[in-house]
Amino acid sequence: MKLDHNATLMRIFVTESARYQRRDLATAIVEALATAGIAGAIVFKGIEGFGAGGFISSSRSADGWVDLPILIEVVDEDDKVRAFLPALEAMAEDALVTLERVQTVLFRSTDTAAR
Amino acid sequence: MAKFLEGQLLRIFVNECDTWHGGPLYGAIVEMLKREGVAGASVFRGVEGFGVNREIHTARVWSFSAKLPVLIEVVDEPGKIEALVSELEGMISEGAITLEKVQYCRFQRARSTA
Repeated sequence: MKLDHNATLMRIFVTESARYQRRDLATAIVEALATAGIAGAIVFKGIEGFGAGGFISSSRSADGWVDLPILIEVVDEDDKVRAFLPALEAMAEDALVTLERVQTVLFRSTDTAAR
Repeated sequence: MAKFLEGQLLRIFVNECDTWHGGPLYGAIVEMLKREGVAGASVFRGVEGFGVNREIHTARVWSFSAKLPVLIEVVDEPGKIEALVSELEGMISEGAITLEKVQYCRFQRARSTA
């Protein structure tokens, strides 16, 4: 077990309707993270929320258009996470990004390169 | 380059079946947060969990009364977040809140007309 003390958890809050080059922004971010060689990412969909617009969107709401929150979580070495920030800034028209120090243990299937 | 500020992340753990004045508690909390002028809030529903009474609630297809866990997340300046705690204490009869330090930054730019 190898504990990495220099890891960072990045959390990216966007919304469902956000687009990048006419594609879903969250999907585009996940693809960009993969291309950048980030260790992994996980996406959560919210059921309710509000942001800078101030309008509460809820899956409980009966009337028409809702724009639910999407959260992307990423953990990797601090340098790698921070190196991704300019790319993220270029993609996201409106996003909240948080960074926290975390300790991680990565579980990997036995080195595929060695097989 | 994005400038990150020292902020606080508030996470509120309640149950989707909890109520407040006849409506869902989590919805009432979101409205309270908006009223208090925090920058934003996001609500997520868990697929399984348990609380203090140790009864496990899970989202199985045959279960219609799942009582699933709900998580509300808020990020803002530490002063603004700490001011919410007493109000939450009055609303939540069973649940938990956590506070942690985070660095945060809002990426925002004008929508291009192209």
